[in-house]
Amino acid sequence: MIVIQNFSKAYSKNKYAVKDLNLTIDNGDICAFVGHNGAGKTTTLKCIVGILDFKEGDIFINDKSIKTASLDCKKGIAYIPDNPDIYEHLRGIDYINFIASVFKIPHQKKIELTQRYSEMFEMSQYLNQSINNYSHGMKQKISLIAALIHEPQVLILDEPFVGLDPISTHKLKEEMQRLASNGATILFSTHILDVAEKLCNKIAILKEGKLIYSGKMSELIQNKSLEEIYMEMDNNVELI
Amino acid sequence: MSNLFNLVKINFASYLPLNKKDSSLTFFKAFLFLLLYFLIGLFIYRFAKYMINGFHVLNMEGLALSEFFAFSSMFILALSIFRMDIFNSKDQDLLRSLPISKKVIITSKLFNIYLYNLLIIIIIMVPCYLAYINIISSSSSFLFNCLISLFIIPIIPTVIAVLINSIITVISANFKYKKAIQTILMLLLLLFSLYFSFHLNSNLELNLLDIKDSFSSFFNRIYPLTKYYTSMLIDNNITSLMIFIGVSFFSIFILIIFLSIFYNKVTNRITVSSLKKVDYNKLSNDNLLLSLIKKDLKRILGSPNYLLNSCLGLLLILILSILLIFFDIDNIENIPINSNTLINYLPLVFLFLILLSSTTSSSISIEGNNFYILKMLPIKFREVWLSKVLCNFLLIVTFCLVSLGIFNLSLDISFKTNLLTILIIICSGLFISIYGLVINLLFPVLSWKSEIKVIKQSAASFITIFSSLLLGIFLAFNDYISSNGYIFYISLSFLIVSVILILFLNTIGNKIYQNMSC
Repeated sequence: MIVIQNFSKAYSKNKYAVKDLNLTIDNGDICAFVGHNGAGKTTTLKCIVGILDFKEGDIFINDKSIKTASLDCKKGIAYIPDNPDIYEHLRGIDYINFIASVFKIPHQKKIELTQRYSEMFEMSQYLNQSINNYSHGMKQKISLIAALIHEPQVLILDEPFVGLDPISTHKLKEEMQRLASNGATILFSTHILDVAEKLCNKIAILKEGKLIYSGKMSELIQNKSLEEIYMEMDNNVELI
Repeated sequence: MSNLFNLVKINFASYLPLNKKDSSLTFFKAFLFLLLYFLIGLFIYRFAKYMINGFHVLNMEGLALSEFFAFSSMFILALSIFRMDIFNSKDQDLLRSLPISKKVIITSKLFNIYLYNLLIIIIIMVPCYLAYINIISSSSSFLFNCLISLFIIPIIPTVIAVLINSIITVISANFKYKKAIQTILMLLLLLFSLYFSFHLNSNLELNLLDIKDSFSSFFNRIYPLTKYYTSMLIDNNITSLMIFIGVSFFSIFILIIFLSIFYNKVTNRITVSSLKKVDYNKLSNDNLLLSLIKKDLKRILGSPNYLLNSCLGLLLILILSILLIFFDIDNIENIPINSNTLINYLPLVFLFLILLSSTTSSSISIEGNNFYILKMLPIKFREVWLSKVLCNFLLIVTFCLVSLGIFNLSLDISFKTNLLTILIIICSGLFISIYGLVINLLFPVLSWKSEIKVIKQSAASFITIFSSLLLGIFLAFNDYISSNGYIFYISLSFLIVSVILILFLNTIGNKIYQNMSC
């Protein structure tokens, strides 16, 4: 469960990337985080996973504050950045092994999960290669395998479908649904509104650092498409 | 021409503290950096004054300039030879996709290396010229020639370094294990350089009746352009000036032609690799600390740049120990040491070279865009710094103990000297590993395009290498080195300082780390 309370993040005095954000995502929810470029989505996601620090407000992961108990929070989180910069000097298998060691995954389970996810994302034959030689999509897949291998309770993904081939996109969506049905909390930013509409039961829309809508997807779209509603909201909603 | 100007401008801008979040901190760091430059300049000025005064008595003060010219050229040659960013920088794909010719891309990259070397030449040569002018009154033509020489001196060493480096990259690009071949070729180059310098020293013929000629021919043998430089500067010889400038520019023109022939082929081959299926059962079962150390070790060993620049002292001591198996030090003429002196001061030799070996001075910066991984994972800062320190410490201990073992094969080293050497290896190794990390934590650079920027050109690596060099000189060359218990006391001092630095890391260092983000 993710609870964001009165969260603001300023990069300099009076220049807020995100202002007064309140959002709750329950266990089992798949929540789409939507907004234009520079709306503050990535900043919020980075603060949720503890990459960026912040002064105003708080973020709770399964009732623990990322500010005061960041290590405990991080034990249950997996994060995929929008640009999968990973250790290029390592081979794919070394990176997965490194992440597995950090999360102290038992050896046998590590072998099983590595094999499972590598085959799922068709990466088995590339794991022995240096990440330096991977395409953007392959780096994305390695990041996904490394993120899923420790069976996270909270999955934070920043535009996870960019660069993925159609089969992997489909499998990732299936895996997200499986994790959510097992009680995981999933929050991902996306610009692909079709995917958000079909995959998510919740949505949060950000505009210029402020939340303009959050709630159930079904309540928002009713008999229109998400794209139509998003365009209307973007044009009409005045910032609070 | 405008493309070249734009590329140079972009690269140059990355050196300047523009668009940084906290400008006050940036200016504070810039102030510290300038202060360091000033102190180094002051040190060189005093040294140059001392030398010029000495030569002035013998009426051959020009030799001081020759010496500074030859050694500063050799210094920047040694610094540039391990730079591999002509073919390897991160912006390679972007630049190749733009309508910019290969020659312009290569020239812009050469210009970057040149600018860096120019800065070093200014730091070394300007204090030397000032000392010369202070002691020997000089004409306006001398001042003009000094100014011209500052811009010309870095060209030839830059060209030679890039040429050698490029040949190594071109050869290694044809192999499957490119990085390993690169590292081996670089080590062979280092071995050859040391052999060459031994050979050069042993052939120095000092004619006491004509010391000036002896030294002049020695400097000319080290670097043949020395005679044109001296003639241009001291005698105001226009022909020498023209030859000096002509040779420099012609060599850079030839280098650009040479590099442009291989540019596409090499940059393409660098990214090729083979497919081999993974055996899941061979996955290792490491704990967190070990996986962090392994990750960092692979980073160091996988990058010839990082290894050769950060572990130069360790490589030198290993090569020195190997060379002594083939050379009898007592039979090499004109070097100021014999086997007994070397044995007596062996712990200090190790100390001096260990202080030049710090991978930690750039081990946080080298994370670059990957730094978010450490931040998002449930890893304490204590585990991060411990792994980085242990990684450097393990490298130091491994290299030094192997070297000490090889020294024992060629020299008759007593048990006590062996013991003291091991003590100094452990204590100074621990100190330099922690010290480098503290400096890197204070001066981190996480956004970079080429790893060279953090390994060699960052404030952290610069401060670490120069301050530890000065410390090494201070500890290895003073009046107390022969006194009883000297090695023990400095080892103890290293341990005490290391404990203080650990306290710093666990308190202030932890806060700095938590506030860092890429």
